[in-house]
Amino acid sequence: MSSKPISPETFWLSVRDINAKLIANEFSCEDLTKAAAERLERLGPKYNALAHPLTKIAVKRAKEIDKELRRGRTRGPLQGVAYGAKDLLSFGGEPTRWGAKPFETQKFEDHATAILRLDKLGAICVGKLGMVELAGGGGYRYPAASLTGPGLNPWDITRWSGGSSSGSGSAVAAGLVPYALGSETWGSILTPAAYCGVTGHRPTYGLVSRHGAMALSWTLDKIGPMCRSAVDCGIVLQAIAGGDSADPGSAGKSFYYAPQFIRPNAEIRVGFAPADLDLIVDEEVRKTFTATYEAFRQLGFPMKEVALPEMPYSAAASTIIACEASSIFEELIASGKVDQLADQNQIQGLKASFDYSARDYLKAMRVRALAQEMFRKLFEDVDVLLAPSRINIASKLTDPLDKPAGITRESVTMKNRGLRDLSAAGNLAGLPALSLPCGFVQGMPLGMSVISRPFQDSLVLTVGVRYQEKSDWHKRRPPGTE
Amino acid sequence: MRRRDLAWFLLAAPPAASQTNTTTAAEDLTAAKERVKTNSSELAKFAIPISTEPAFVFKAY
Repeated sequence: MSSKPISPETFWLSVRDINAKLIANEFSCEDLTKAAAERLERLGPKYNALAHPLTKIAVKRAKEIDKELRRGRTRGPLQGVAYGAKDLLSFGGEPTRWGAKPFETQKFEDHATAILRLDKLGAICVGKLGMVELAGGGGYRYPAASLTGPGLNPWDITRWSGGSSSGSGSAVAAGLVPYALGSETWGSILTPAAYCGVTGHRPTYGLVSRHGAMALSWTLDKIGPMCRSAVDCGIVLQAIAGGDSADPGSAGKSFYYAPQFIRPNAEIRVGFAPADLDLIVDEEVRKTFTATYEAFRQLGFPMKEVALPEMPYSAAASTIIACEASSIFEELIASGKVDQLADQNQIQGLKASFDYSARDYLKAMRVRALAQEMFRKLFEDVDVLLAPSRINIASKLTDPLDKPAGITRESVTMKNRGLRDLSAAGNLAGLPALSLPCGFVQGMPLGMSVISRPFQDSLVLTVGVRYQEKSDWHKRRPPGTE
Repeated sequence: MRRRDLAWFLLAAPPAASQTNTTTAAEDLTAAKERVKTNSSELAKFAIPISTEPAFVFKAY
């Protein structure tokens, strides 16, 4: 078959639409993959999004997919569609650097389970994507805490793309890949999704295998999709979810994306906390989130004000991550190789993690048990929670992340704690969450998250799909992108 | 020069504006150790029922 030019518009289509064009033979998988890989190699560096290209391997795989398609062998909507994977996931035989200088020559023999599952469905990985070094486990001060440099936001390259799945967020937002895999321990999918204006899903803990992924915290790490719509997140999640005996945290559950079986909006009770907005300094940001709450009300969801009870969620999450990371990276820290990391604050944070006691860790895990019990009770009254993914637009690259200024009005006395601790609490309890683009301030995207009970990923995604059927925030493109 | 190298050369992101640490490594280590103490004391002062077991599961298979 002769080579056909691929329109740049192709790269902005949904995964189903791209796959349909392949099946209709509008272009070959080889041509599409070559174009996608060339695009990622050419434009990825503009955003520091590309950690390692996989062009040669991808094109070889694409030729195999073409043969399959010619035989009429179809494997579902991801077949032949390119994607990128956070460099935290191993890709057999190729560098897996975890965004960190001490691991710059690291390679593994096998693919991570998530990549293997996508490969079996004919998906084509065209590149490893940039990330914050070691997923930021030590607490980093600047976006430059990465082997590939600071993740640059396609909406404004003087701003951060968010972390730690920085390259996954910016590559999807800039139309370099239709979707990407990211990971979250505490905020690493929802933050770049919100900052870059893409749709990011943090699956329930244990739903997606972490085998072959860098461990930062065994009891908190999750792998999830970052896409341009909730529909695409559902399709990708179905592909990567499922039990895996190689992952001790695996729940052994499958996931089927079937929004048609989710009850009507009028029967899905939404919990939200307007008090959260009182903290926000920027009036336009507050207006945007208020309008999003109203949009959900207009969709027919019964809305109910809720609040999380007082608990040391952040202290517990910080302690668990630090204690587990100090064991995982014990050799790195003890040997002094940790000093090769880019971010001074992260280096010292990892060193200080040795100071935690076993009592601290166990207390944090007991707080976690209480948090899980608290959510069980909370979800008797509501089905999903709605809360800003981040209460600010992406920060400037030069802004220190450990001392954010001008975002919150800490002087405000809140009537209740609202859902301000939901990021820490939701991760502690392993809850699924979906960040949806919900508006723009100063030309930068904002995200609203939908959160639910463990293994209610389908509900969370369906609420997202229904919101996106009535809004177009997720369809907007950064200025100047091809 | 390969096309890939040329693309990296031409399109590599402009260097980020200066991100200068205003603190020394020793000061950051002290601050990090202080955060550990803060987290530890915040957890310590939070009362938990004696019956509450840690939230992790060990599967012996």
